[in-house]
Amino acid sequence: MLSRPIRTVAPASVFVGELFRQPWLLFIVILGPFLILLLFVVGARVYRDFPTTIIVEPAQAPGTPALQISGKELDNFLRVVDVTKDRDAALARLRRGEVKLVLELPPDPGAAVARGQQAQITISTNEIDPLANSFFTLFVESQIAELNRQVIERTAAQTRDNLGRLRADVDRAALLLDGLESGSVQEQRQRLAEASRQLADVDAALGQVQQAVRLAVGPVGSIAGTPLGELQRLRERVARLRDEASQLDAQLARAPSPEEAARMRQDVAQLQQVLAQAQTTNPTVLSAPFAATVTNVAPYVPEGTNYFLPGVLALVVQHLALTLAAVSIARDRRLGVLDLYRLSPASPVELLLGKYLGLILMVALIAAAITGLAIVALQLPVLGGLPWLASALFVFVLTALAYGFGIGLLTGSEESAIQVAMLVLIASVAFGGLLAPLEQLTKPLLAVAYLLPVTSGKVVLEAVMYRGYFVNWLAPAVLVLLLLVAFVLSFRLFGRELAQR
Amino acid sequence: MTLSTPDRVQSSTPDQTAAPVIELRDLRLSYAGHDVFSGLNLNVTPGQVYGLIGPSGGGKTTILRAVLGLLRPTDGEALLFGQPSAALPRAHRARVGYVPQSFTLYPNLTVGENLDFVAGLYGIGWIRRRRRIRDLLGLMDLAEHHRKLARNLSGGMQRRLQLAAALLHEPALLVVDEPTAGIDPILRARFWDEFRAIAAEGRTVVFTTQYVNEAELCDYVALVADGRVVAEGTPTALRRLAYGGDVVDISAPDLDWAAVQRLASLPLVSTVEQASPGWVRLIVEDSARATPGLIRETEEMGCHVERVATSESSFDEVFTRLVKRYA
Repeated sequence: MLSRPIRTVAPASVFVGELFRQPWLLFIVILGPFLILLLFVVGARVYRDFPTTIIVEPAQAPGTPALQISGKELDNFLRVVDVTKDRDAALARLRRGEVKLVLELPPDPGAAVARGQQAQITISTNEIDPLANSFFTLFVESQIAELNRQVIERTAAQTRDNLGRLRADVDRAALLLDGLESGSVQEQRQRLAEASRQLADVDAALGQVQQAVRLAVGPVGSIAGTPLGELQRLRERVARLRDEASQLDAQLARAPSPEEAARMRQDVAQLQQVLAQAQTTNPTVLSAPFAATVTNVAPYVPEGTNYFLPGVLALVVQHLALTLAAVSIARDRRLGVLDLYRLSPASPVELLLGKYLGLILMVALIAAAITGLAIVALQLPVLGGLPWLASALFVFVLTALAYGFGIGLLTGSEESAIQVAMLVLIASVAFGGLLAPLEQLTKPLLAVAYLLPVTSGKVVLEAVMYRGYFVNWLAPAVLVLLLLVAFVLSFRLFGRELAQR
Repeated sequence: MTLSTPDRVQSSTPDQTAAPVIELRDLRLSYAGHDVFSGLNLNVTPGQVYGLIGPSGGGKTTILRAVLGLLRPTDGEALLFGQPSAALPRAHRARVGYVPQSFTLYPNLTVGENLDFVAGLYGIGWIRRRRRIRDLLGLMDLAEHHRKLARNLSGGMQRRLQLAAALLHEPALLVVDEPTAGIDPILRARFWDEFRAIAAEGRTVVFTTQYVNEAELCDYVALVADGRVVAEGTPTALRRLAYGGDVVDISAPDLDWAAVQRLASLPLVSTVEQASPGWVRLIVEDSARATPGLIRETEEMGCHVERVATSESSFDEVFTRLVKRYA
């Protein structure tokens, strides 16, 4: 008998008729959400730009050359729009919202470092958005870390240059010591005195370099492996050489034994070797010994706001399906069509199936059109393949429709149905993983979030489009479970509605 | 049809022996502790045009909805085709056509699409559907408007569309709520022609109206006021009930008070309804039997009879009398 399918198709024909009766509506319903998606993707920025910043320099340049910071150097993580010495003017501009940050350099960083304290850089902001503040903090901390690294690198480079000059003195001392065993005692004493002078010069020069480094990087530089630590080791070696020279000089009565001369030559050779090593040390490595290389095993990493597209798509489709379904029931009740249904030979199952059929055709068509446009226009991948995408959209739309029918059947009027649909929309935006990652929700709130189709729908669409596989099966399982429960419930509610007298 | 409260008037047509299409037994409906109607007993047999007639707000629509099972009665039973109307099997639901008081189709669909939708609900196949829709559009004078959106139709056109939708599946029982409210006399006459044609096919039409005079066009009438059936019967029977018999008007210029009194004393005359010099209205048990005797008696009294008529007083008056008597 064809009566049953004919009766089922009847309610579906209403939606098709009404939709194609209003082509402008069709246009708006498809193109509208797509344009919203497009504007979001093209127009929205997730703090991609560095914050605009004014640098306030101290009135006088700091005494330590290594600590002289130019405002223009702070542009690794900040967008420096102005460098000034007028603090009040900079803060006024901050209050007027012209810039996001004002960064004040310390007046005498060298003095603070000499006292064993960090030189404080003051940051001011005028932002009420906590998320923006978090990003600013991240940018500023990154910038300060970069600044510290640059200072250490610069100091290490200067130290290397200075050590290069010292090496010439050490080489001369080595030449003097080479001929130590030959010649008269008088000549030997002259050579020792000359070598000792050379070493004294080296020691003095090392002391100056050490002081400069200490001023630049503070007490932290004394740790072994850092420039100050290495300098300390060098000075200790020079001191030992000078001691040995003094002891020989005190024993003028005899010539230095071959062992003594060899030990001194060996010490000088080691000194030469250390200086040579110090000269080959890369200042960048010294300033930042660790570097990170990130390897992402995800098959595709969407650019910028493209990441949000599946979520926004799920939100748009859910709202569309849910509202249309809820309003269709409420409107039938207002028009009195439900009486027509009650008296017709069609069963509640046939009637609601017909409504599902009509709306799934309509919404799935719209969802497919929006998704297709987005995929083509934004060149997005569907790594899971089109059949998976179609299946995911179908299940998701059906779930949203079941929710919509439930809302329509539980509310009394079209106005109430629309209001509840709006509440679901707000809840979906708040808890659906669009504003905050699901991991940040407490467990009770996460449970509430997963009651909304958009939550699992977003995860499923992301997986189908951007991964090609499900990281875990929680989201698809929840979506199917929601569909089953809501689908069965909608039929029970519709049967109850038609049985109500 | 049979009348249970408060008076029983028997009718000769149509077939009273057939199983009733509608049967109400002691039906009572309460809302918020107040009886909308109570003790309602009605039987509607096939082939009738049955009118629930009464003033607006009298409970006609509520009774109709209870009959159809759209309202659950507090007490009693409403049967359609012998089955409880609230749980009517699918096959019986397919035998009922309903035209509610307000327009209940889709305003954003065309006339043709709305009919297509309703035909679908009744499982009418596409080939038969095309023919039925074409015929009904012609019958309801809507053929030229079948591509017009329902929301753009006039009130009268919407009523016609709704009626066409109710007739699509050729129901055995057509229930129409206020079909003639707010429509012009020509269209009203067409509706009545259609109702009579349906009844002539042995099908039943039950309708409500606030136009009391439309009772004349019914086979059976239930006069409804304040949630009660004040009286029920054929139009003729109700008229007799209202006046206590047939009404005979005699016009004779020489008729005086003494002559009127003499006529009133005749055995076939129940009472003198009204009298004035030269004219008298008498209530008789059977006008056909009494009229020749009344003419003869008047002539014998030396009064020349100019005119004798069996009065067909308006149903407004009949209704008023019955309400006064039984309400």
